[in-house]
Amino acid sequence: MLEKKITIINKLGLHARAAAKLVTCATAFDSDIWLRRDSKKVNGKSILGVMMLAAGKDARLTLIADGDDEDEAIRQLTALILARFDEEE
Amino acid sequence: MNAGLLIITHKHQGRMLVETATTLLGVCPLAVETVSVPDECEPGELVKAADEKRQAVDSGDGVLVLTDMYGATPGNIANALKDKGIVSVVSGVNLPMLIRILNYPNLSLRELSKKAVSGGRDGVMLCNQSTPD
Repeated sequence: MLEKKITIINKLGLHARAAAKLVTCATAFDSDIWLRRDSKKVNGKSILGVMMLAAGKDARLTLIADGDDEDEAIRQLTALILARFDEEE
Repeated sequence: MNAGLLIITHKHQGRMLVETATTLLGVCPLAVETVSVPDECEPGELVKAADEKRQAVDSGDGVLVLTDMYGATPGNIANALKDKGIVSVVSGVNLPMLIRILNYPNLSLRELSKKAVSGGRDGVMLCNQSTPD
């Protein structure tokens, strides 16, 4: 199992469209994927779950992946978040 | 085959919900139709129009009918469809409900109906840390 701390940097945070992109990315992997914010841990493959984090800009999250492709999952999810979900700001 | 989806609401709420969910997800994996109920209407005619749309989205596995408010005219139209085919009716449609449904397009009508209720309920919460007095 891999864990990685990351900060949400896009202006709108982990809003609905961003959450949908994150879930689309996560579901491409066989590994189980979770996101944790403080004491709340949600399924990274569920849009409604990810929305429940209510993670705005500057929110600190922990990505968690567990499975054969956990390295690549963490790498791609990190890249997506750092790319601001392809949003301009 | 998948269940079909029919959304019956006051005015154009159903169409707006479908547009929003489809934009978020990038696809709409189920056959969907909507019925907008205006302030002044003839319910009998709308039941007929709704049933035609129900048939259009029914590929043989039945239709999940969502409506906004139980007991209101759209809800009554939805309930009038129950005897016309394999139909499951869920009231209280909201965006979380619709997104959850569209995330499970391969479920049976019965299981999809349960997902609809759980998704709709999970989207309703008191967002304050503490309850105001």
